Amino acid sequence: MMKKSKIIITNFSLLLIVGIVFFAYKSNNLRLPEYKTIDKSKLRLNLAKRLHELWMIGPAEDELLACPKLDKSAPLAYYRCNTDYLECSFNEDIVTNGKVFRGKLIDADKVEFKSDKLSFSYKLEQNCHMVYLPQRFYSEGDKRIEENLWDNLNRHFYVDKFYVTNSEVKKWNNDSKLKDNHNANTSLTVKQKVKYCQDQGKRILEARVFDAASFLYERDPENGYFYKYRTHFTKGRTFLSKNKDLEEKNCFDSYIKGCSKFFEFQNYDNIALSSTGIANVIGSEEEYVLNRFDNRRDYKLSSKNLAMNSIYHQVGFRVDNKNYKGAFRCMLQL
Amino acid sequence: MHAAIIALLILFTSCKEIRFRDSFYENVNDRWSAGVDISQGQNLKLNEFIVRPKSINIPLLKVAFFNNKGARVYDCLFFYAAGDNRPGVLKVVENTNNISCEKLASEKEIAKITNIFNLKVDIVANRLKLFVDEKLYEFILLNMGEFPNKKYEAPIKKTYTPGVLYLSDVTTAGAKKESIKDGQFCYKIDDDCSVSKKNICNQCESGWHEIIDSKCASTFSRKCGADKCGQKGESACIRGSATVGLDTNFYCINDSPFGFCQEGLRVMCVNEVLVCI
Repeated sequence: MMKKSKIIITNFSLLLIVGIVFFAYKSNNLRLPEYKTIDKSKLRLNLAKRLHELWMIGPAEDELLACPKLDKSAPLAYYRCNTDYLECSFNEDIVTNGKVFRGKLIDADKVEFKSDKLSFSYKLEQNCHMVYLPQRFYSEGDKRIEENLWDNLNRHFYVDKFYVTNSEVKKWNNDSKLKDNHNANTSLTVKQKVKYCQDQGKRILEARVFDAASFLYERDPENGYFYKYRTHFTKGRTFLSKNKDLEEKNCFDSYIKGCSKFFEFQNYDNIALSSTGIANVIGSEEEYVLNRFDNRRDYKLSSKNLAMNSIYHQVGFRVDNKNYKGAFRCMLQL
Repeated sequence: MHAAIIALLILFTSCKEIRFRDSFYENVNDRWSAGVDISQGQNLKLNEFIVRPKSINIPLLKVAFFNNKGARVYDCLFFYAAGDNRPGVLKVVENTNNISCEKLASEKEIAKITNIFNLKVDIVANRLKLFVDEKLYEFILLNMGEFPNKKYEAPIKKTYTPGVLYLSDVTTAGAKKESIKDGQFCYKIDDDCSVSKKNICNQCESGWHEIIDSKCASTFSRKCGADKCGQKGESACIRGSATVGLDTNFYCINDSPFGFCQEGLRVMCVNEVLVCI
């Protein structure tokens, strides 16, 4: 009995010593309670994650309903990287780690979250709607022969997926006549389009880059020749060359005359997508591009105004038409 | 009972890696969590104890991070290694003008730790670890993403929260960047593809454009000014040397295939530059 209690006392003492050493060690390291109470890094990261969702992923349909001022007819994609939606979403507080934060848009690209005592700032990057052009060989123009060849190996180009909108232009030039909406802007002259893109730190989209991002290519492994197909969505014959009635599914490949009876064309819808991911390759709006090879071929006539049998419904087929204003997009080289 | 003691001992020893937080950590972390980049000092060997040179402030790192306006600002981290009679000191100095850290060795610190005997530095991806005696200070540089390894992939850094950059509370303005006028080089490549002028094209007043002015096939010099390539009297547009498939040593000839111009114009080589005439 005596021996047993001796063992218990010894073990208890040993445990006590180890415990004291352990807690002394712990308290020496983490004894400053004020630094333990707020994990600022965690808050900073959590708020950034929420901001990333609001900015890059955008709203779900029911989330958009909470924003009465926003145009519900616009596709949801339009509200990605969109400061109007961001401002609306800041009407609600964000609660993280027991702290309540209110967001505020400080500049077009800066957001601040504030609580009673804390404040965190973030910068927004505009890269939701740009498509990277793969590095490879390309050919400008609609001709099936190898002409106007170029490559972008070791050079980085990004292309706007959709047309520049009225809203974006209105923010740039404060044109009171312009409607504040997601429709493709067609009001600017060529000079103004060039200046608009330049002021965004970009360049007006070039014809060769547009073609590169649009064509379906096939490269012959033996002689290196590459074939450019007439449309961006198939190598074979298409509904455009068949004498058939237009069907709704055709309008997703190319929004042309007659499609309006199925659905209305919307900029920011995934219509006429190329394999690289840019939209409106054929059909949709008439579009201006800058042609470095031949400035007499800088206007894409293929649009929703032309019927399915029009010869203009071909990738890379452009005409000289500087009086037309047309839609446009920008590109970026890094 | 013995098992409990052993478990407690294991717990005790495993706690060696606990991240330490004190005023030094808080001050520095408020800045460096908005970090974009770390440049290592010449003498720094990662994950090795720093014991010499003694009696001078050794520049260990230069950390780039965003201020509250989104501009890049810099800090330098120095270590004064422990000598016979004096323990070491670790200090962070603000590098307002983005100059070499060596020049700031005697400047006043914004945060410091004294009485250091052992120091080790490690950088793993975007984590900077300072092992100060038995303490570990760990800083996560949230804007310091990794570029993809794949050669032809978009050069976009992969960060925790793409599209959102973290800003610090630091109000210090970054070094004033003078804008560069149109027509001046903002990036210069030599014939052997070495960079003779670092890329500062983001300081151009109205964009930049590439020109062919060297034998280098993989990258091209850049000048400030809107891209008017292909037009009469302007530089030739770049076709890409892979497309041409010829030795770039002979790029500077009239009708050079390495450049192209608008219909009706010729590519000419004037003063080693391909232009359209």
